[in-house]
Amino acid sequence: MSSDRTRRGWIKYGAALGGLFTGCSTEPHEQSEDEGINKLGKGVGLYGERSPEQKVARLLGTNKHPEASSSTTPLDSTMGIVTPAALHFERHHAGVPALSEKDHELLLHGLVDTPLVFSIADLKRLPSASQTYFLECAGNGGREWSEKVAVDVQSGFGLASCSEWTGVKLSTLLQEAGLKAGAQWFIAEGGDTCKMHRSLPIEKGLKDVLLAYGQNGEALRPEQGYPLRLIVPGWEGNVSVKWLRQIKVVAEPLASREETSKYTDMMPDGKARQYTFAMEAKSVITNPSGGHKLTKRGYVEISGLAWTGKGRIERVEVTTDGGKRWQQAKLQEPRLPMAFTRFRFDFHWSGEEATIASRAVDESGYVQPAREELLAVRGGNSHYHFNGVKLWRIAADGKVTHVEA
Amino acid sequence: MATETVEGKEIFERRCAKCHGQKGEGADDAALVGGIGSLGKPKELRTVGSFWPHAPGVWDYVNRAMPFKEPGSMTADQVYAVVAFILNLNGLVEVQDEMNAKTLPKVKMPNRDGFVKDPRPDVKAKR
Ligand code: HEC
Repeated sequence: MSSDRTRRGWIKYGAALGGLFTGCSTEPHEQSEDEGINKLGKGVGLYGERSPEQKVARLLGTNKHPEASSSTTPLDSTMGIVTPAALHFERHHAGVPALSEKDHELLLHGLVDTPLVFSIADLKRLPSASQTYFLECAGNGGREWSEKVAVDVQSGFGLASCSEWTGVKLSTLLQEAGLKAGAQWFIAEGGDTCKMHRSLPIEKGLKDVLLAYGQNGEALRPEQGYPLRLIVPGWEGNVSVKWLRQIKVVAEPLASREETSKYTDMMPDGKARQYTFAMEAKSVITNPSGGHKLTKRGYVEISGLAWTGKGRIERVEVTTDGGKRWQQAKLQEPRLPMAFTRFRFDFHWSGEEATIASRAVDESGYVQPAREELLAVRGGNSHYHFNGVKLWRIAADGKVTHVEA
Repeated sequence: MATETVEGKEIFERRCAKCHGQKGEGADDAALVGGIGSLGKPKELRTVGSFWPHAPGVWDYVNRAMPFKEPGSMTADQVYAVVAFILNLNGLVEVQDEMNAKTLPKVKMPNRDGFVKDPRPDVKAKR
């Protein structure tokens, strides 16, 4: 294509979208010699690094013990639906253990006909599966329960990430071991110093739980559970036990500390909901969002992420007038079940104040509620499972901020 | 063993108090004592005494995860002793009560009926 035709094509397309490209230079860029085009670059390397000028990073939580803390994904800087492993959120209760693939073993026992022990090499010999799933900490968005709602998307919603996970289906192992009568639950236990353990219904284990050794095409990162972790699609992140070392099939759940004192949802009547596993449909506009600044009037792509623990995202609606009118956003295909779905919406910013938000509808027909609707039912004290609509305000000067609760 | 909580007190003060407070009232880390009857009230305090439903769960957690930087460094009996002390601070067992695998499950935790099943979807969005 000649540059002339390209230019004409752009102009035509731009006109169709109402001045989409005003401000874009259509002149070919003159490259001067001292810009380095003729300077020979570096040779091949063993393991890739990003450009040194790229500084996007996780944001560290403020817990006094970094080993019992979290770090959040910069959702407004990640693209598409996949989170780079190095930016995947972290939530540890007792640090990242230094485990070796060579020594690690998984014990499968309890109500099974044949207890089994697997090395990582054993697991890699079994039929493998790769699936793209989001992981979301139960506490993601937790700040929204309080009056002091999150000021930006990373600190407020970055305890969610999405990866392609590779491993063996738990059902493969359970079939191999054989389930005994009364096998209703299984307990997954990790190899961190708190020996994190959670009870899960055997039904879920037989359906879609993965024992993952791979993430985004390479071995898990240590902070993501190297060399082996559970991936429990669509359910609160804590149950996807990292550094997995044993699975015990049992009749009853444990009611362990992580199933009573933590990861239960306190209701206004003083009763706490227990085994609240699924993450309900949720979405948030990542671009533009709190802390951003629009520098030009005219075309702005509004974009964000939606996900649900109940399957696929069916629809995402966007408002640019504080919720009076909701319009459909475009969804990136393919829409994978229990994975991030990227949505995009063409917005023409007039330079006036605008309040923007998104709401997701999933394939079960569930509609992401407003914050007030959620609070009306659950009160403000349940810490976990916040999935209300998040509003951002674009001021006349282009500054984007949170909207006070 | 009537001295159980005496040993428990000694262990607690030496190995737990720095992070959880001299009397388990909380310091840099969670309060383990108090708040009984406060759930759902404005000044809610969730502790082992006020929130945890079963006493054996306390033994299990302390045994596997505490002290935070040296887990696995106490004998089973030492864990019983320190758990007995925490329960005693919460007014749930007497100093002379012996705590072991038989007696611990019988401790009546105030919030034993405080957990309910997941009723979601519970919020219907108006559109
Ligand atoms: C270095 C500080 C430190 C010391 C010492 C320590 N803990 Fe902890 N404790 C913690 C931290 C941090 C947590 C929370 C861990 C997490 O995030 O899961 C915790 C959690 C707990 C909990 C759960 C609280 C709840 O309501 O969920 C109990 C019970 C507990 N500790 C008991 C003990 C006992 C008993 C000892 C002494 C044998 C002890 N701790 C020593 C830091 C400490």
